Formats: sequence, structure tokens, C-alpha cells
Amino acid sequence: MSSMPSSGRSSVGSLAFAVSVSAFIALVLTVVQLPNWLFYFWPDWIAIVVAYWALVAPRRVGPFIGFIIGTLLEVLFVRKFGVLGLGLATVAFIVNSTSQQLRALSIWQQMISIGVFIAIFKLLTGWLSGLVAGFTITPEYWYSIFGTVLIWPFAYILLEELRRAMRIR
Amino acid sequence: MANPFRKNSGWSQFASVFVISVVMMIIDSRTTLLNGPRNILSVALSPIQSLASIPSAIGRYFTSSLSAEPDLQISYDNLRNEYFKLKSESLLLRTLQDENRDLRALLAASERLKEKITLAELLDVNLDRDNHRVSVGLGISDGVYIGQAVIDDQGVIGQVTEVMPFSSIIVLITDPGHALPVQVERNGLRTVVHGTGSVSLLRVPFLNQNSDIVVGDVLISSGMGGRFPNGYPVATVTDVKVVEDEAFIRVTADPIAKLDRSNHVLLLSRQAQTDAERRVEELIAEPN
Repeated sequence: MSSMPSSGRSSVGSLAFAVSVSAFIALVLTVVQLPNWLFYFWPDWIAIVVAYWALVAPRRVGPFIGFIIGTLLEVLFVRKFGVLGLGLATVAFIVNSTSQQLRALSIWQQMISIGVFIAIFKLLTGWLSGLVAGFTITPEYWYSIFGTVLIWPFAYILLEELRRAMRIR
Repeated sequence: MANPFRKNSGWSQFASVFVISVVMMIIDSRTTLLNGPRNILSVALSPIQSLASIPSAIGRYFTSSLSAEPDLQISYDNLRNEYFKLKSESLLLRTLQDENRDLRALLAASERLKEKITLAELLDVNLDRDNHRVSVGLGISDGVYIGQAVIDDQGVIGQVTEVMPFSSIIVLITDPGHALPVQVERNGLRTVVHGTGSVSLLRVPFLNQNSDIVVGDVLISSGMGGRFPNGYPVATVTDVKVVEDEAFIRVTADPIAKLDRSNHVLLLSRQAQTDAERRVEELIAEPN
């Protein structure tokens, strides 16, 4: 939101558009009906989207954007306010502050780091919703970390395509 | 020069977001102050919601309403057969009901409350993994209240958790945060079923190794806790696993109600009944 020293003239508008489109697709993917065997491994799409944008545009997509997306999700999914917002803000913050190192990593190392971040995200949101909404963490709760890690490279490539198509630097 | 500044702004942004979130969490879990803004936002976001549910709605359309004529004929015949079967059973039911009332009168037991049933149409299904909610098109204006039990033609679906003017939100029995007191139909063994987050899996915890429960047992609501009236089918036991070193056995069950397939649900209200009874009592009391 402040002046960006090295980045190009790409407008904030197209970035906002790309972020909203990808967040919307993630939302659709989150509510889609699934067969049983896939159910628990279904990735946390929203977290993937937030992590991606926080990685490639760390100066503009940060905790605040994560918080906004999380709050909108809380409205759509009728959750208690604040939990998802804080969780996604945390993801954005961690990715932001490690973005330079993350970009230098190989794809395998990147997948592992994303897995760790998602685990932190799930631990935080699970624990907080346990506090405010009586949610209990089941063993199956953690399975989606594997799904998220496995889907990360493909999601990354697709989001790169979107970013290139929108000419966002 | 730019780097420390950025880090600094990241930290401050995160700190402010952290404070805002914590405040929101506390307000939202202790009070109902945020329900107004939430309702306004949810109205504003309803286009997004309906757009997002299009793909799954298309899937449902192709699986349900695109059936061929022979299939329709078959399902019509099935419904007809079922109708006659139920009708003949209901004839028997009336005599049983009378008999039951007489027996209860003999025992001087209180008469079983009859629940008032309201039909509601599903507006929206949100089967997010950690949060199983559906919304129906009845709200405060239709007398829906929080804690009302919801069933379909097969069994228990869930309970009402949030009531808005023209719609209300129902939490399903498969929600990971939901637990429901039940008993085994065969022998009356009382226990609880927990949701797991999967639409076809419930967990029955805290049964010890000599509990009499086998695969195929039907679990019915026990009426404990006062939310759900007793006697409605909830689930069938699908797996009983004894693990040597564990204090409890692992029992899983499959919900009987068509949680992800029904378009209509039934809301059971006791309050309306007790109100009506009160009115009747008042009417009786008046002449004296």
C-alpha cells in the first residue's frame, strides 16, 4: 500500500482482482462435494492461495489481506469471528517474512516448508476454535496437511499462470 | 534500507491484526454483538455464496433430476408400494397408540409429549470439513427456536443453532463439534455419538470392552439432555473394534438420515406443543 521501491508499475487493481479470483476458486473447491476416501485429504485451498500470494507479492499481500479473506470466510461458513482471520494472517506473515528464503528453495524443500506452515495454521485455528466454539481436534483433522503439501507444486504452477496472464510482477 | 522497514511494517501489521482478531473472538464468543454485522455481510456476500455452490448444484442436478422415464416409473411404483405399506401400518399404529395411552394411565405415568412437525426446505448446504451446517428457509417469523431438533423421514439430522429472521442454521450430527445422547435399540445401552466431519461416519466413544454392542445395532436418540425427543433413529453401528491395550473399544456408526441427500427436513417443536397445552389448561381453568 506504500510506495514499492523495486517492483514495476503493475497496478494494485489487477493484483486485487487476481487475489479475489483465486480466493473465489479456492472457496468453490472448499465446498465441493467429495467422495469419502478423498474427504480428509482435501487440501486447504484458501491457505494455499494466501500462502502463494504472500510468497510472490510479499510487499502487498500480508497479514491484513489474510485477515480480510479469513473474515469473509467466517461469514460464508458461519464460523466464530476472528479464528480463520488470525490463522490466515499468521500464514501470510510467516510466508512474508521467509519469502526470500522460500523462493531460493528447491520444490521439495518448499513443499516441506509449506507443510510446516499449514500445520501451524491448522494447530492455531483448531486450538482457537476449540476455545471459542467447542471444536474438537480429531486425528483425521491433520490429514489435509498431506493433501495440501502434495497439491502445492501444481497449485503453484497454475497460480503462476494466472499471475503471468494478469501481468503482475 | 528497505528491508528492515518492510519487516517492521510486517510486524506491526501482524500485531494489529492479532489484536483485532483476539478482540473479535472474545466479543463473538461471549456476546451476540457481532451477529448484526455478520448478517449484513452475509447478505452482501450471498451472490458469492450462490456462485460458489453452482458447481456442486450442477453435480447434484445431473445425479438426481436427469433420470430416465423407466427409472421414474420404478421410483413411482416404489413410492406407491411404500405408501400403502405405511398406510396399513398407521392403521395398526392408532390402536397401539390407544393401548399405550391406557397402559400409561394405568401406570400413572405422564403422557408422552407429541411433537409438532414443521416442514422446511433446505436453502443452502455448507459441508465444509470442520463445520457441517445447512440452512433452511424458516426463521424467527415461523417460530423456529435455537435447540430445535431436526429430522428427515429416516432419522435425526441435527439441531438448530442460529435463527435469523427468515432462515436458520442447522448443525448436522456429523459436525465434529456435535454430540448426541443415544441408546442401543436392542438393549437400551446408553451412550453418546460424536460427529467426525465425514458425512457417513459417526464415532461412539467411551464404551468399555464388555459393552453389549454389535455391528448392525440401531442407535436411537435417548432423550437425555432434553434436546432431542427419544426414540428417533440416529445411526447403525458399522464397526466394532477391540484394541487390546485400550480402555475403550472403537465403535463407528453410519447415520441413518440422508444427511447429504434430502431437500426437505422436518423441525420438531416441543415448545409449540407446551404453549398449546398451556392454552388448553388456561381454557380449562377459566370456567372455575
